Amino acid sequence: MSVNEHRPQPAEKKFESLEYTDEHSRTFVFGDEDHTLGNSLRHVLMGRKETRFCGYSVPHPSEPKMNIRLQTSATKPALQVLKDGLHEMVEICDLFDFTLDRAISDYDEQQADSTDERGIH
Amino acid sequence: MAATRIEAYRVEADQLYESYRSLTLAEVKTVVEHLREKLRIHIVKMDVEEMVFDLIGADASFANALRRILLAEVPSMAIEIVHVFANSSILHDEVLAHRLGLIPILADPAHFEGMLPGPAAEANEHNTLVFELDAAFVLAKGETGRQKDSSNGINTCDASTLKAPTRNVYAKDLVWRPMGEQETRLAERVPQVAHPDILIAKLKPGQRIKVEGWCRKGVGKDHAKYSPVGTASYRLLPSIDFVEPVLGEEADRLVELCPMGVFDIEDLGKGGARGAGRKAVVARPRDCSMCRECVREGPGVDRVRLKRVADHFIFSIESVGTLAPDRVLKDAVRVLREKCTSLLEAIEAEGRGDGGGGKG
Repeated sequence: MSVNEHRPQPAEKKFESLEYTDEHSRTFVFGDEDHTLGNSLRHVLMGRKETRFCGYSVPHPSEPKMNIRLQTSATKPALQVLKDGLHEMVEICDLFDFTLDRAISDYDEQQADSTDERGIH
Repeated sequence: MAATRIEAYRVEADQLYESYRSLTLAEVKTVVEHLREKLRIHIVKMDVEEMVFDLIGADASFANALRRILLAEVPSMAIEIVHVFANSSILHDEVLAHRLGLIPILADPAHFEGMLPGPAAEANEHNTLVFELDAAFVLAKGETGRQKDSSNGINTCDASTLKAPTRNVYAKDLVWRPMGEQETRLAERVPQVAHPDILIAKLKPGQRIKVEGWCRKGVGKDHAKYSPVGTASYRLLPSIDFVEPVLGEEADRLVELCPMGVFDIEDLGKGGARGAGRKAVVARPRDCSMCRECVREGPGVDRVRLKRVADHFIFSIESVGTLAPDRVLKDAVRVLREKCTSLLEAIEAEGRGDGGGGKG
Protein backbone atom coordinates (compact mmCIF):
# COMPACT_ATOMS: atom_id res chain seq x y z
CA MET A 1 0.00 0.00 0.00
CA SER A 2 1.45 3.29 -1.03
CA VAL A 3 1.06 6.55 0.82
CA ASN A 4 -1.40 7.71 -1.80
CA GLU A 5 -3.84 5.02 -0.84
CA HIS A 6 -4.16 6.35 2.68
CA ARG A 7 -7.45 8.15 3.05
CA PRO A 8 -8.54 9.80 6.26
CA GLN A 9 -11.66 8.09 7.52
CA PRO A 10 -14.82 10.19 7.68
CA ALA A 11 -16.19 10.88 11.14
CA GLU A 12 -18.52 8.35 12.70
CA LYS A 13 -21.06 10.99 13.57
CA LYS A 14 -21.84 14.21 11.76
CA PHE A 15 -23.38 15.79 14.83
CA GLU A 16 -23.52 14.98 18.50
CA SER A 17 -24.76 16.89 21.49
CA LEU A 18 -23.00 16.22 24.77
CA GLU A 19 -25.23 16.68 27.75
CA TYR A 20 -23.56 17.80 30.90
CA THR A 21 -25.79 19.94 33.05
CA ASP A 22 -28.84 21.44 31.43
CA GLU A 23 -30.14 22.36 28.05
CA HIS A 24 -28.74 25.89 28.30
CA SER A 25 -25.13 24.83 28.38
CA ARG A 26 -24.03 22.27 25.87
CA THR A 27 -21.01 21.08 23.97
CA PHE A 28 -21.77 20.12 20.39
CA VAL A 29 -19.45 17.85 18.49
CA PHE A 30 -19.34 18.25 14.71
CA GLY A 31 -17.86 15.48 12.61
CA ASP A 32 -15.78 16.35 9.52
CA GLU A 33 -15.71 20.03 10.36
CA ASP A 34 -12.81 22.30 11.23
CA HIS A 35 -11.88 25.95 11.71
CA THR A 36 -13.70 26.86 8.50
CA LEU A 37 -17.11 26.43 10.02
CA GLY A 38 -15.98 26.52 13.66
CA ASN A 39 -14.72 30.07 13.77
CA SER A 40 -17.37 31.60 11.53
CA LEU A 41 -20.23 29.83 13.32
CA ARG A 42 -18.75 30.85 16.66
CA HIS A 43 -18.72 34.44 15.48
CA VAL A 44 -22.33 34.29 14.36
CA LEU A 45 -23.42 32.69 17.65
CA MET A 46 -21.57 35.38 19.61
CA GLY A 47 -23.71 38.00 17.94
CA ARG A 48 -26.95 36.46 19.16
CA LYS A 49 -28.72 37.95 22.14
CA GLU A 50 -29.29 34.66 23.94
CA THR A 51 -25.64 33.67 23.89
CA ARG A 52 -23.77 34.03 27.15
CA PHE A 53 -20.69 32.16 26.09
CA CYS A 54 -19.54 30.56 22.90
CA GLY A 55 -16.21 29.02 21.99
CA TYR A 56 -14.93 26.41 19.60
CA SER A 57 -12.01 24.03 19.49
CA VAL A 58 -10.49 21.39 17.27
CA PRO A 59 -9.21 18.94 19.88
CA HIS A 60 -6.76 17.13 17.63
CA PRO A 61 -5.78 17.87 14.02
CA SER A 62 -5.85 14.23 12.93
CA GLU A 63 -9.29 13.65 14.39
CA PRO A 64 -12.08 14.92 12.09
CA LYS A 65 -13.93 16.68 14.92
CA MET A 66 -14.78 20.19 15.98
CA ASN A 67 -16.37 21.19 19.28
CA ILE A 68 -18.59 24.16 19.95
CA ARG A 69 -19.36 25.11 23.52
CA LEU A 70 -22.51 27.16 23.77
CA GLN A 71 -24.06 28.61 26.92
CA THR A 72 -27.28 30.53 26.62
CA SER A 73 -29.54 32.61 28.81
CA ALA A 74 -32.67 31.04 30.24
CA THR A 75 -34.84 32.26 27.36
CA LYS A 76 -33.68 29.73 24.79
CA PRO A 77 -32.10 26.27 24.92
CA ALA A 78 -28.60 26.00 23.45
CA LEU A 79 -29.65 23.62 20.69
CA GLN A 80 -32.24 26.10 19.44
CA VAL A 81 -29.68 28.91 19.45
CA LEU A 82 -27.31 26.68 17.49
CA LYS A 83 -29.99 26.01 14.89
CA ASP A 84 -30.76 29.73 14.68
CA GLY A 85 -27.05 30.37 14.20
CA LEU A 86 -26.84 27.86 11.36
CA HIS A 87 -29.90 29.40 9.69
CA GLU A 88 -28.22 32.77 10.07
CA MET A 89 -25.08 31.44 8.38
CA VAL A 90 -27.23 30.28 5.47
CA GLU A 91 -28.70 33.78 5.26
CA ILE A 92 -25.23 35.30 5.31
CA CYS A 93 -24.17 33.03 2.44
CA ASP A 94 -27.22 34.09 0.42
CA LEU A 95 -26.55 37.73 1.19
CA PHE A 96 -22.92 37.36 0.13
CA ASP A 97 -23.95 35.59 -3.07
CA PHE A 98 -26.44 38.33 -3.88
CA THR A 99 -23.94 41.11 -3.16
CA LEU A 100 -21.30 39.31 -5.23
CA ASP A 101 -23.62 38.97 -8.22
CA ARG A 102 -24.34 42.67 -8.07
CA ALA A 103 -20.63 43.51 -7.79
CA ILE A 104 -19.87 41.32 -10.82
CA SER A 105 -22.53 42.96 -12.97
CA ASP A 106 -21.35 46.40 -11.81
CA TYR A 107 -17.82 45.46 -12.79
CA ASP A 108 -18.87 44.11 -16.19
CA GLU A 109 -20.84 47.29 -16.89
CA GLN A 110 -17.89 49.41 -15.89
CA GLN A 111 -15.58 47.39 -18.15
CA ALA A 112 -18.00 47.72 -21.06
CA ASP A 113 -18.14 51.50 -20.49
CA SER A 114 -14.38 51.86 -20.46
CA THR A 115 -13.99 49.87 -23.70
CA ASP A 116 -16.63 52.12 -25.29
CA GLU A 117 -14.63 55.14 -24.31
CA ARG A 118 -11.49 53.63 -25.74
CA GLY A 119 -13.41 52.95 -28.95
CA ILE A 120 -14.37 56.61 -29.27
CA HIS A 121 -10.93 58.07 -28.68
CA MET B 1 -22.19 39.38 38.30
CA ALA B 2 -20.84 36.61 36.13
CA ALA B 3 -23.32 37.07 33.32
CA THR B 4 -22.47 40.72 32.86
CA ARG B 5 -18.81 39.90 32.71
CA ILE B 6 -19.31 37.34 29.99
CA GLU B 7 -21.44 39.71 27.95
CA ALA B 8 -18.78 42.34 28.31
CA TYR B 9 -16.26 39.76 27.16
CA ARG B 10 -18.32 38.98 24.11
CA VAL B 11 -18.33 42.58 23.09
CA GLU B 12 -14.66 43.20 23.81
CA ALA B 13 -13.29 40.07 22.23
CA ASP B 14 -15.34 40.10 19.09
CA GLN B 15 -15.46 43.84 18.40
CA LEU B 16 -18.09 43.51 15.76
CA TYR B 17 -18.60 47.18 15.51
CA GLU B 18 -17.16 50.24 17.12
CA SER B 19 -20.54 51.42 18.35
CA TYR B 20 -21.29 48.03 19.94
CA ARG B 21 -19.94 49.05 23.28
CA SER B 22 -22.46 51.82 23.86
CA LEU B 23 -25.45 49.66 22.96
CA THR B 24 -27.61 47.88 25.45
CA LEU B 25 -28.17 44.18 24.96
CA ALA B 26 -31.61 44.77 23.48
CA GLU B 27 -30.16 46.94 20.74
CA VAL B 28 -27.47 44.47 19.74
CA LYS B 29 -27.76 43.32 16.15
CA THR B 30 -27.14 39.84 14.93
CA VAL B 31 -24.31 39.35 12.49
CA VAL B 32 -26.61 39.03 9.50
CA GLU B 33 -28.49 42.21 10.41
CA HIS B 34 -25.18 44.00 10.66
CA LEU B 35 -24.06 42.60 7.29
CA ARG B 36 -27.29 43.63 5.56
CA GLU B 37 -26.33 47.20 6.33
CA LYS B 38 -22.60 47.06 5.97
CA LEU B 39 -21.59 44.32 3.53
CA ARG B 40 -20.05 45.71 0.36
CA ILE B 41 -18.16 43.93 -2.37
CA HIS B 42 -16.19 45.90 -4.86
CA ILE B 43 -14.33 44.14 -7.65
CA VAL B 44 -10.99 45.77 -8.35
CA LYS B 45 -9.82 43.45 -11.09
CA MET B 46 -11.22 40.35 -12.71
CA ASP B 47 -10.18 38.24 -15.67
CA VAL B 48 -10.12 34.51 -16.46
CA GLU B 49 -7.17 33.87 -14.19
CA GLU B 50 -7.15 36.40 -11.42
CA MET B 51 -9.60 38.32 -9.33
CA VAL B 52 -9.07 41.00 -6.72
CA PHE B 53 -11.98 42.33 -4.75
CA ASP B 54 -12.69 44.35 -1.64
CA LEU B 55 -14.78 42.66 0.99
CA ILE B 56 -16.04 45.40 3.26
CA GLY B 57 -17.98 45.05 6.48
CA ALA B 58 -17.47 41.34 7.06
CA ASP B 59 -15.63 39.69 9.93
CA ALA B 60 -12.26 37.96 9.60
CA SER B 61 -13.84 34.63 10.50
CA PHE B 62 -16.05 34.79 7.41
CA ALA B 63 -13.22 35.93 5.14
CA ASN B 64 -11.09 33.12 6.50
CA ALA B 65 -13.83 30.53 6.03
CA LEU B 66 -14.08 31.60 2.39
CA ARG B 67 -10.32 31.43 1.94
CA ARG B 68 -10.09 27.97 3.49
CA ILE B 69 -12.93 26.67 1.34
CA LEU B 70 -11.41 28.14 -1.82
CA LEU B 71 -8.17 26.33 -1.14
CA ALA B 72 -9.44 23.03 0.14
CA GLU B 73 -13.12 22.38 -0.42
CA VAL B 74 -14.22 23.59 -3.85
CA PRO B 75 -14.41 20.53 -6.12
CA SER B 76 -12.54 20.26 -9.39
CA MET B 77 -11.45 17.53 -11.81
CA ALA B 78 -7.99 15.95 -11.93
CA ILE B 79 -6.40 12.72 -13.07
CA GLU B 80 -6.64 10.29 -10.17
CA ILE B 81 -5.87 6.87 -11.68
CA VAL B 82 -3.28 6.19 -14.36
CA HIS B 83 -3.18 2.94 -16.30
CA VAL B 84 0.28 2.45 -17.74
CA PHE B 85 0.42 0.31 -20.88
CA ALA B 86 3.92 1.26 -21.90
CA ASN B 87 6.52 3.45 -20.33
CA SER B 88 10.08 3.15 -21.46
CA SER B 89 10.92 6.77 -20.65
CA ILE B 90 13.30 7.54 -17.81
CA LEU B 91 10.40 8.64 -15.61
CA HIS B 92 9.17 5.97 -13.25
CA ASP B 93 5.50 5.07 -13.56
CA GLU B 94 4.75 6.65 -10.18
CA VAL B 95 6.49 9.91 -11.05
CA LEU B 96 4.75 10.03 -14.41
CA ALA B 97 1.38 9.38 -12.76
CA HIS B 98 2.02 12.12 -10.24
CA ARG B 99 2.94 14.59 -12.98
CA LEU B 100 -0.21 13.71 -14.90
CA GLY B 101 -2.30 14.20 -11.77
CA LEU B 102 -1.06 17.76 -11.35
CA ILE B 103 -2.13 18.88 -14.83
CA PRO B 104 -5.16 21.18 -14.59
CA ILE B 105 -8.07 19.70 -16.51
CA LEU B 106 -10.58 22.03 -18.09
CA ALA B 107 -13.86 20.33 -17.26
CA ASP B 108 -16.82 21.57 -15.29
CA PRO B 109 -17.04 19.62 -12.02
CA ALA B 110 -20.78 20.37 -11.91
CA HIS B 111 -21.21 17.93 -14.79
CA PHE B 112 -19.87 15.05 -12.73
CA GLU B 113 -20.68 13.10 -9.64
CA GLY B 114 -18.17 12.45 -6.93
CA MET B 115 -16.75 8.96 -6.62
CA LEU B 116 -18.39 7.08 -3.80
CA PRO B 117 -15.94 5.93 -1.14
CA GLY B 118 -14.99 2.29 -0.82
CA PRO B 119 -13.70 -0.39 -3.17
CA ALA B 120 -17.15 -1.19 -4.53
CA ALA B 121 -17.41 2.15 -6.31
CA GLU B 122 -17.33 1.75 -10.05
CA ALA B 123 -16.15 4.13 -12.70
CA ASN B 124 -18.83 5.23 -15.12
CA GLU B 125 -19.46 8.06 -17.55
CA HIS B 126 -20.93 10.23 -14.79
CA ASN B 127 -17.91 10.20 -12.52
CA THR B 128 -14.91 9.57 -14.76
CA LEU B 129 -13.25 11.31 -17.67
CA VAL B 130 -10.67 9.39 -19.67
CA PHE B 131 -7.61 10.94 -21.29
CA GLU B 132 -5.21 8.98 -23.44
CA LEU B 133 -1.58 9.71 -23.98
CA ASP B 134 0.39 7.86 -26.59
CA ALA B 135 3.73 9.40 -27.39
CA ALA B 136 6.65 7.68 -29.02
CA PHE B 137 9.88 8.89 -30.48
CA VAL B 138 10.45 6.77 -33.53
CA LEU B 139 13.23 7.57 -35.95
CA ALA B 140 12.90 6.50 -39.57
CA LYS B 141 15.66 4.32 -40.96
CA GLY B 142 18.86 6.20 -41.51
CA GLU B 143 17.54 9.23 -39.67
CA THR B 144 19.78 10.54 -36.94
CA GLY B 145 17.32 13.01 -35.47
CA ARG B 146 20.07 15.61 -35.65
CA GLN B 147 18.82 17.35 -38.76
CA LYS B 148 17.56 20.88 -38.41
CA ASP B 149 13.89 20.16 -38.06
CA SER B 150 12.17 21.37 -34.93
CA SER B 151 8.64 20.47 -35.93
CA ASN B 152 6.83 17.72 -34.06
CA GLY B 153 8.40 18.63 -30.77
CA ILE B 154 11.75 17.13 -31.72
CA ASN B 155 14.72 19.09 -30.49
CA THR B 156 17.44 18.90 -32.99
CA CYS B 157 20.80 19.27 -31.40
CA ASP B 158 24.25 20.16 -32.37
CA ALA B 159 25.97 17.20 -34.06
CA SER B 160 29.23 18.16 -32.41
CA THR B 161 27.90 17.33 -28.95
CA LEU B 162 26.99 13.80 -30.13
CA LYS B 163 23.99 13.75 -27.82
CA ALA B 164 20.92 11.86 -28.96
CA PRO B 165 17.98 14.16 -29.72
CA THR B 166 14.94 14.35 -27.49
CA ARG B 167 11.25 14.64 -28.10
CA ASN B 168 9.13 16.55 -25.64
CA VAL B 169 5.82 15.20 -24.46
CA TYR B 170 3.40 18.02 -23.61
CA ALA B 171 0.06 18.21 -21.87
CA LYS B 172 -1.59 18.83 -25.25
CA ASP B 173 -0.69 15.24 -26.20
CA LEU B 174 -3.41 14.11 -23.77
CA VAL B 175 -6.45 13.24 -25.85
CA TRP B 176 -9.91 13.02 -24.36
CA ARG B 177 -11.71 9.77 -25.06
CA PRO B 178 -15.47 10.22 -24.58
CA MET B 179 -17.27 7.43 -22.78
CA GLY B 180 -20.95 6.59 -23.27
CA GLU B 181 -23.07 9.70 -23.67
CA GLN B 182 -20.27 12.06 -22.74
CA GLU B 183 -19.68 13.24 -26.29
CA THR B 184 -23.15 14.80 -26.55
CA ARG B 185 -23.40 15.70 -22.86
CA LEU B 186 -20.13 17.63 -22.79
CA ALA B 187 -20.24 18.92 -26.37
CA GLU B 188 -20.67 22.51 -25.19
CA ARG B 189 -17.43 22.47 -23.34
CA VAL B 190 -15.11 19.75 -24.52
CA PRO B 191 -12.85 18.51 -21.72
CA GLN B 192 -9.21 19.32 -22.35
CA VAL B 193 -6.08 20.38 -20.55
CA ALA B 194 -6.09 23.98 -19.35
CA HIS B 195 -2.51 24.69 -20.38
CA PRO B 196 -1.35 22.79 -23.50
CA ASP B 197 2.34 23.51 -23.05
CA ILE B 198 3.06 21.79 -19.76
CA LEU B 199 6.06 19.53 -20.23
CA ILE B 200 5.31 16.01 -19.02
CA ALA B 201 8.36 14.03 -20.10
CA LYS B 202 11.24 13.91 -22.54
CA LEU B 203 11.79 10.91 -24.79
CA LYS B 204 14.94 9.60 -26.42
CA PRO B 205 14.72 7.71 -29.73
CA GLY B 206 12.92 4.42 -29.32
CA GLN B 207 11.16 5.38 -26.07
CA ARG B 208 7.43 5.38 -25.68
CA ILE B 209 4.74 6.38 -23.21
CA LYS B 210 1.26 4.96 -23.56
CA VAL B 211 -1.02 5.66 -20.63
CA GLU B 212 -4.64 6.28 -19.81
CA GLY B 213 -5.52 8.84 -17.16
CA TRP B 214 -8.84 8.65 -15.35
CA CYS B 215 -10.13 11.95 -14.01
CA ARG B 216 -12.22 12.19 -10.90
CA LYS B 217 -13.96 14.94 -9.02
CA GLY B 218 -12.23 15.78 -5.77
CA VAL B 219 -11.39 18.51 -3.27
CA GLY B 220 -8.14 20.18 -2.29
CA LYS B 221 -8.08 18.76 1.22
CA ASP B 222 -7.82 15.30 -0.31
CA HIS B 223 -4.97 16.24 -2.64
CA ALA B 224 -3.58 19.63 -3.65
CA LYS B 225 -4.02 18.78 -7.35
CA TYR B 226 -7.78 19.23 -6.86
CA SER B 227 -7.40 22.76 -5.55
CA PRO B 228 -8.98 25.11 -8.14
CA VAL B 229 -6.85 28.04 -7.02
CA GLY B 230 -3.14 28.71 -7.04
CA THR B 231 -3.51 31.09 -4.15
CA ALA B 232 -6.43 32.62 -2.36
CA SER B 233 -5.48 35.19 0.22
CA TYR B 234 -6.64 38.36 1.88
CA ARG B 235 -5.04 41.28 3.67
CA LEU B 236 -6.47 44.24 5.51
CA LEU B 237 -6.53 47.62 3.83
CA PRO B 238 -3.76 49.78 5.32
CA SER B 239 -4.87 53.07 6.75
CA ILE B 240 -2.28 55.81 7.05
CA ASP B 241 -3.09 58.98 8.96
CA PHE B 242 -1.20 62.11 9.76
CA VAL B 243 -1.32 63.17 13.39
CA GLU B 244 -0.12 66.55 12.17
CA PRO B 245 0.80 67.60 8.62
CA VAL B 246 4.25 66.93 7.17
CA LEU B 247 5.32 69.96 5.14
CA GLY B 248 8.04 71.32 2.90
CA GLU B 249 11.35 69.48 2.69
CA GLU B 250 10.16 67.01 5.26
CA ALA B 251 7.34 66.08 2.91
CA ASP B 252 9.86 65.40 0.14
CA ARG B 253 11.85 63.28 2.56
CA LEU B 254 8.76 61.25 3.50
CA VAL B 255 7.89 60.63 -0.15
CA GLU B 256 11.44 59.38 -0.73
CA LEU B 257 11.41 57.20 2.38
CA CYS B 258 8.46 55.12 1.23
CA PRO B 259 9.63 52.32 -1.09
CA MET B 260 6.08 51.60 -2.25
CA GLY B 261 5.31 55.18 -3.31
CA VAL B 262 2.34 55.60 -1.01
CA PHE B 263 2.76 59.33 -0.43
CA ASP B 264 2.38 62.22 -2.82
CA ILE B 265 3.09 65.91 -2.56
CA GLU B 266 0.21 68.33 -2.56
CA ASP B 267 1.08 71.84 -3.66
CA LEU B 268 -0.32 74.33 -1.22
CA GLY B 269 0.86 77.33 -3.22
CA LYS B 270 3.23 79.97 -1.94
CA GLY B 271 1.00 81.07 0.84
CA GLY B 272 0.64 77.66 2.46
CA ALA B 273 0.99 77.02 6.14
CA ARG B 274 4.36 78.17 7.51
CA GLY B 275 5.07 79.26 3.96
CA ALA B 276 6.18 75.69 3.26
CA GLY B 277 4.29 75.35 0.02
CA ARG B 278 4.13 71.56 -0.05
CA LYS B 279 2.38 68.97 2.03
CA ALA B 280 2.65 65.17 2.10
CA VAL B 281 -0.62 63.32 1.45
CA VAL B 282 -1.52 59.63 1.35
CA ALA B 283 -2.27 58.92 -2.30
CA ARG B 284 -2.11 55.13 -2.64
CA PRO B 285 -2.82 53.40 0.70
CA ARG B 286 -3.41 50.09 -1.14
CA ASP B 287 0.22 49.97 -2.21
CA CYS B 288 1.41 50.11 1.38
CA SER B 289 3.17 46.91 2.39
CA MET B 290 3.32 47.81 6.07
CA CYS B 291 7.12 47.93 5.93
CA ARG B 292 7.07 50.67 8.61
CA GLU B 293 9.89 52.51 6.85
CA CYS B 294 7.93 55.78 7.19
CA VAL B 295 7.65 55.52 10.98
CA ARG B 296 11.10 54.07 11.65
CA GLU B 297 12.96 57.34 11.26
CA GLY B 298 12.66 60.75 9.67
CA PRO B 299 9.70 63.11 9.62
CA GLY B 300 7.05 60.41 10.01
CA VAL B 301 8.18 58.95 13.33
CA ASP B 302 5.66 60.78 15.49
CA ARG B 303 3.43 62.20 12.78
CA VAL B 304 2.43 59.24 10.64
CA ARG B 305 0.10 56.73 12.17
CA LEU B 306 0.09 53.34 10.48
CA LYS B 307 -3.04 51.25 11.02
CA ARG B 308 -5.35 48.87 9.23
CA VAL B 309 -9.08 48.99 8.56
CA ALA B 310 -10.39 46.08 10.59
CA ASP B 311 -13.29 45.13 8.32
CA HIS B 312 -11.91 45.95 4.89
CA PHE B 313 -10.34 42.90 3.26
CA ILE B 314 -8.47 42.99 -0.01
CA PHE B 315 -9.14 39.50 -1.26
CA SER B 316 -7.23 37.99 -4.12
CA ILE B 317 -7.95 34.74 -5.94
CA GLU B 318 -5.66 33.25 -8.52
CA SER B 319 -7.18 30.41 -10.50
CA VAL B 320 -5.11 27.55 -11.93
CA GLY B 321 -7.06 27.98 -15.18
CA THR B 322 -9.76 25.33 -14.87
CA LEU B 323 -12.52 27.47 -13.37
CA ALA B 324 -12.82 31.25 -13.59
CA PRO B 325 -12.08 32.89 -10.22
CA ASP B 326 -15.60 34.34 -9.82
CA ARG B 327 -17.03 30.89 -10.42
CA VAL B 328 -14.71 29.40 -7.78
CA LEU B 329 -15.83 32.08 -5.34
CA LYS B 330 -19.51 31.36 -6.00
CA ASP B 331 -18.81 27.65 -5.55
CA ALA B 332 -17.09 28.40 -2.25
CA VAL B 333 -20.13 30.24 -0.91
CA ARG B 334 -22.31 27.35 -1.99
CA VAL B 335 -20.04 24.89 -0.18
CA LEU B 336 -20.30 26.93 3.03
CA ARG B 337 -24.06 27.11 2.65
CA GLU B 338 -24.29 23.37 2.10
CA LYS B 339 -22.20 22.74 5.21
CA CYS B 340 -24.82 24.60 7.26
CA THR B 341 -27.87 23.00 5.65
CA SER B 342 -26.45 19.49 5.93
CA LEU B 343 -25.66 20.14 9.59
CA LEU B 344 -29.20 21.34 10.20
CA GLU B 345 -30.38 18.06 8.71
CA ALA B 346 -27.95 16.11 10.88
CA ILE B 347 -29.28 17.93 13.95
CA GLU B 348 -32.84 17.02 13.02
CA ALA B 349 -31.79 13.41 12.51
CA GLU B 350 -30.04 13.38 15.90
CA GLY B 351 -33.18 14.82 17.49
CA ARG B 352 -35.24 11.95 16.07
CA GLY B 353 -32.72 9.52 17.50
CA ASP B 354 -31.69 7.98 14.21
CA GLY B 355 -28.80 10.34 13.56
CA GLY B 356 -25.14 9.91 13.02
CA GLY B 357 -25.01 6.26 12.04
CA GLY B 358 -22.97 3.54 13.77
CA LYS B 359 -23.00 3.62 17.53
CA GLY B 360 -21.30 0.31 18.03
